[in-house]
Amino acid sequence: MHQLIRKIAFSSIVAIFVAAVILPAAALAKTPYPNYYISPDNFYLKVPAPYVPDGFISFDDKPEGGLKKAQDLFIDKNNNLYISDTENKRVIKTDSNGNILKLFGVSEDTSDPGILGSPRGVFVDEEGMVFVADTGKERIVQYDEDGRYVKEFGKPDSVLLGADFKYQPTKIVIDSRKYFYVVNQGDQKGLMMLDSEGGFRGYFGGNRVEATFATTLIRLLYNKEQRAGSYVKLPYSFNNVSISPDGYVYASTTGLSSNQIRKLNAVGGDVYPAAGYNFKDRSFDYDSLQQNFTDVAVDADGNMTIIDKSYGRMYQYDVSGRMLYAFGSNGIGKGLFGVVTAISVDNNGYLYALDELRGGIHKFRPTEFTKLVHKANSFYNEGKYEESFGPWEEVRKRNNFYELALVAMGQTNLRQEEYAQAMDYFKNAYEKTGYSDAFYEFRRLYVKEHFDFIATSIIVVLVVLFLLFKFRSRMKIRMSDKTRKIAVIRAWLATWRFIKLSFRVMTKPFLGFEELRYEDKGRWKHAFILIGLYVGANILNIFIVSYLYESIPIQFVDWQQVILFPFLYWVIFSTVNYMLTTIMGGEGRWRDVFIATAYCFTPYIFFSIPLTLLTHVLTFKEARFYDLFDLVLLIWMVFLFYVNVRETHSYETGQAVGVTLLTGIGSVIMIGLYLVLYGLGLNVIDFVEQVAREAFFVGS
Amino acid sequence: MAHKWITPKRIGNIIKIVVALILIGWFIWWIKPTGELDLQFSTNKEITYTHAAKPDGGELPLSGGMKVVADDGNLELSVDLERQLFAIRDKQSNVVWTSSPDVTGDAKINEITGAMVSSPFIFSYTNNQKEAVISSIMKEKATWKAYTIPGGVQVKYDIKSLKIAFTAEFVLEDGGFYINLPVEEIVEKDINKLVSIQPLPNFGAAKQGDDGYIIVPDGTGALTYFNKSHTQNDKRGYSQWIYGVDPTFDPNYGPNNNEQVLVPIVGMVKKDGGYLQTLEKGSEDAKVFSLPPGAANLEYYRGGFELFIRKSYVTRFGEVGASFTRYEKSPIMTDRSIRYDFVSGPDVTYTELADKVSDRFMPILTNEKASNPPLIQLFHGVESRGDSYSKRLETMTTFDEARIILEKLQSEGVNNMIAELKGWYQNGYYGNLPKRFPVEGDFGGEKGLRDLLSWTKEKGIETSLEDNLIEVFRGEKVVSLRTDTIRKPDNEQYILRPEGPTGWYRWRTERHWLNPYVIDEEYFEDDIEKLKDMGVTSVNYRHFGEKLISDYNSHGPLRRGETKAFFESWINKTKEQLGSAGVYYGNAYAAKAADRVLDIPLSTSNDYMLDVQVPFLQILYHGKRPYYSKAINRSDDPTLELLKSIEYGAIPSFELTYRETTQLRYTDYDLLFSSKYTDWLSTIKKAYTAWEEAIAPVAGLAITDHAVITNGVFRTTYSDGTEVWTNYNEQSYSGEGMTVKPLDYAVRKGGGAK
Repeated sequence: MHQLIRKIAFSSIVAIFVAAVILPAAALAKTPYPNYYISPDNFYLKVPAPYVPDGFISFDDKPEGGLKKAQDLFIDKNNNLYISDTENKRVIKTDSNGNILKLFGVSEDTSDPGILGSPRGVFVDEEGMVFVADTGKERIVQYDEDGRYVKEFGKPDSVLLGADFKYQPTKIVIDSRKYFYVVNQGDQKGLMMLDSEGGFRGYFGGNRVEATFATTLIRLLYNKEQRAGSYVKLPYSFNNVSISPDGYVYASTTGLSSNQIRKLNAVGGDVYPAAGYNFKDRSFDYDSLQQNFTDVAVDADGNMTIIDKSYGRMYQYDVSGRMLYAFGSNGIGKGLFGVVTAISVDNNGYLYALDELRGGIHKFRPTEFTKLVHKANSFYNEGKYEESFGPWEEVRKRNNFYELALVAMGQTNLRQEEYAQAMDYFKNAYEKTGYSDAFYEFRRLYVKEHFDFIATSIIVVLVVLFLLFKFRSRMKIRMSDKTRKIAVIRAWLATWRFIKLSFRVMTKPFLGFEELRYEDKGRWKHAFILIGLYVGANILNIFIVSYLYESIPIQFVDWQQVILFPFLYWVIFSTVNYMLTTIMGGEGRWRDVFIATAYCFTPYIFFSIPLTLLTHVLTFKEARFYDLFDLVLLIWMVFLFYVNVRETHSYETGQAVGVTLLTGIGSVIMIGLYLVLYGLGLNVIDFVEQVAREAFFVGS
Repeated sequence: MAHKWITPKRIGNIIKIVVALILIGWFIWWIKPTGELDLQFSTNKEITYTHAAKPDGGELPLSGGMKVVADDGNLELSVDLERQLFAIRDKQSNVVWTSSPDVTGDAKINEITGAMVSSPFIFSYTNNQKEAVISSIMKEKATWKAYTIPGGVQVKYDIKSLKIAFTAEFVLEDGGFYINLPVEEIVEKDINKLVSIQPLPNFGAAKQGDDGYIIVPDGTGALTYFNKSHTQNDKRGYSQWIYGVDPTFDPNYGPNNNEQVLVPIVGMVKKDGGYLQTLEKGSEDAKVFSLPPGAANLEYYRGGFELFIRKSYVTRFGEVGASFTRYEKSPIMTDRSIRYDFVSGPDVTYTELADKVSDRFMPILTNEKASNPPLIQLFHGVESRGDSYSKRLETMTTFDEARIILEKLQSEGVNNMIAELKGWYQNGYYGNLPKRFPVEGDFGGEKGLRDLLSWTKEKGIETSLEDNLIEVFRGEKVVSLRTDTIRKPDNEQYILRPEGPTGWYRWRTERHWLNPYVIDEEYFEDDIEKLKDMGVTSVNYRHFGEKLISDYNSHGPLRRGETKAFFESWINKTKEQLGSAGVYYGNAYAAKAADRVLDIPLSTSNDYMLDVQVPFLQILYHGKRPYYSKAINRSDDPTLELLKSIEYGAIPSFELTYRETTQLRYTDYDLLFSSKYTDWLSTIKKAYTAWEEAIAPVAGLAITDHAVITNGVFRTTYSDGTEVWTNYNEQSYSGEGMTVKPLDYAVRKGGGAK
């Protein structure tokens, strides 16, 4: 009996606990949103959840009542939360578990100057003074720690601001000099900087007008009078402002296509480490919504978390502007946002996101993975590579794909002169610059070690080549007519003649093309073989190119394109050329044009493969060397095409140049025309299909 | 003369005409409306449905208020036939459950909501196949006749306004209360077609602020408390398909990462007792709901089942056209029967309820082994993404390397384990599915596999093969994609796409599902023979326990119930022919048939209705089926995942490879982000110790209690009194004579079997 009573008592205690405590939404780290990393080359890789939902702070069940369209959230140094509960005209101070500590801006006395109109921004300084951007009453209000009204800063008065200046402060931060940085709604000139007395000191930061092709064109073509009256594009205004522990001001903007987040130094210059960076996440390209970054939270290590209101996704970047990971999502359910308006970080690294629609704050707890990344990264960013290696190795154990860990470990190995290992890390991270550096050192060491062998082999090869070249003429084999009749040998001889011919066309084009046309040495068969070889060389190059010089990993090569495009070049150039020359009195026949054009590709067939093989000993430092040869090949081919036009059709030099240029332009037009017609055709078919389907479906 | 008529020009013209006709014909065929086919389901099988019981008396008079109609010694069923109020009384404790709440004096109830609250059946119907209307017996002013049948009462409802009639039987049988809905008694005489029926939807309905909760079987299970506010979800409440949504009827455009309902059981606990209702028949096409006050304008918490007679699907005009919802034409023919179990007393918990139904729901296997050690999954390889020219097989573990991994684990002290081989098929994990043989040569070929299997047998490591009978991936040469794969109701082919890291589909990869008839006739027997020949003694089947699908393929249409029967028969045949069979995730029907459940869910959905996660599923399964966690190294936080599996009694598992995981970067298997075996040795040893201490000793026992001690500290109690404490906090916990280190567990041995 005694036991029964105890059991009952205990179970009711449990019940009370269950009812009263905000339980962690996920004692288990399963997140209702995706977690991934975006590599610099826009490759998406899964990461273990960096943050897991850790409860939802809501005041719906409290006597003070729930939030109504709350717009801002601030966390002070004691991990207390300040929420500007906009439509309830108050600011709430709570602890990190959602227990309300104080209300600001509410009073029984209607004459109290502290009563808020429409608070949309809140900031707390080091001394615990609370500043509220009271948009509705066009002022900034200061309260002390106990919620007592101290003073207000009204609309700043300055001749600089002009007569029709509208003051609607929505967000506010204060720097160590006690200067205010105020987001004035719709003000395109930047943040308003006010001194500690509320006097206007000038604009700070500020976006520029983004020049688009159309606006540039209008500026170029129209004079000022013509432009007057037309739509004037103004720079976008900031939507939010935050200040980091080390005193940088972060401002976010809606609508820009890059620099959506700015990190402003004391004089208002954008010092974000990846200048011109576009924060847009291309995995949302399938959808029409534009991302809208509305808030920034920066922790003590300088890690910056930004939040996108459109999709509810959060992105964290480290102090040097490298992406750490993306997570979070809009949706229905715990840990998902309705409409998120603000984000903040506390001393323990927990993230708090204010949800306007659901009327509460989502709390996110950093996981072991994130803590490790932060630890390793802070070492790394301070230049303590050796210390960072251990934590990075732990990170890599948890996620083999995590490129930052791989790059960091590669860099450390590079400094420790373990080049082969470094190359391996860089290769796995797909970090080519690092790989190139490591390879440079590796190659240097290798050559140093094996100098004798390498030097000897080079000399031997040179000598052999020289000898071959010298005795080439003496090696001519005399063959009897009888031997010449043997089928195999005849085939070999024909091949040899073909090779010699193509070599001649390549090296002595004026003679060669004339030979093809007027000595009737051109064969359809040979043209196809050459194009086949050209396609073959293209394919082979993809296989044999070194890791450093490959344009995309072989898995993503579009083989249809690789095979079809060379063939199409040939057909298009030849067709356009033939059509042009027919009107312009060219002598070449249909077949001559096609065959001669095929011969233009010979330099690529002969030299691209050795050049590609060369990439295996080149680093990025010698990239110019490679590019130069590539360019030489291209010029050579264009030159051949010009000679081809000139010789095949017996043109004068000027005429030939003109036709060559026209052929190029004509080909571009033809491709464009094809694309347009193809697109139109698809649309027409789709249209007919839809109409038909609808008719059938409605009819049935 | 004829030869003069046949001129080359004429021949040319004729050819042109023929070509034009072919083109036009093809175009017409192409745009042919893809409306719903009139299919006869289950044609080639003789299915007899349970008939309605024969009345053993005359028609009962409707008037006369509450009358007792059945009594089995423990429970007493009484009915007010006129008001359609049903009541169950526990004769010992005198606790009464009624089918509708007492609404007298409730100001918020108006005529319509009153009619909904007092109805024993809420149903929905459609008269145009496009939208469904929700109504109820009382709202439609239906008439009914009642008859006595053995153990209870039979009521024949006639909804004259809709020309729909159906029969329900309410009986006490076998210690429980049953509601049966004989399918042959459903009559629809007009264009109005039934979509769904909710039997006794207001049974035990509770008000906001009452003591107690609804038990929702989502994932591991969760509770909806009556005294918490549930306004976050616009009062829509929770309503999910049992065994997950039918993929061919799934209207969602994107992937869904929530857990699904694995068991057809829902229940309620109030201050003086609780009940569980089990959908014993007809669970394949039904939803579980848990509704907050305000849903459908009724101010009550309600939990129950919604049984579907017709399901809806979404169809489109062309690729980009607007989408429409349609209700299928033919009804789902199946028996439908719900059983209620009651436990009375002031401190009843969901644990007691679950323990009460567990034995009946999940019968113990006869060949239950004494010990079920941790599972090591070995992943052999997969092809990279890209088209058929550029894909490349990424070998992650050969059969020889698999042996090295297992040897290493044994030498590190992991003496007891079982293994699973994943992706041994030709061309790796997705390979040329459904073709799996020959075993991929790069991994060691058939010989390598045979050697590995005989080596593991010698070492006592029970080894299973993962097998995938269902999926079709690059199956063009093996099966006919046109006739052999599963289709949606609008005759569109069902396409399954892998999920990418950003939570969205990879649109370039398409997979299909194979029609179960084709599997049964062409693959199953052959494959079993081949596996048997290689010395395989155990297979774990993908999909059987994860998804249940219906098929509108005109060559062999299937309802979910028929697919389920195929799954069960294949599992049973495998057990007969090879030895043992396992399933993943663990939908109840598959778990019942199989010997083990892998990848059991350890979480619940993030729905706002689910206040607290509880191990309801684990309480039902523990001691009946060994169940394994998802690979710990796949989880977001391995430490927490291992703790969770200890708390919930799940045997830990790991998915390992011999080579660097980085190789998987360009494959569809890139969601496995860390698997190299050397990286995980220490965690495996930790998990092994945890298994030895906290999971192995309680194998075969029932979970008798699960309690939240304080925020982040849990206690799971087994039937011999053993307690497993888990602490998720970063501070250590002390209390009740126990100390649990931060992020750790502690075990208090029990006194012996109770």
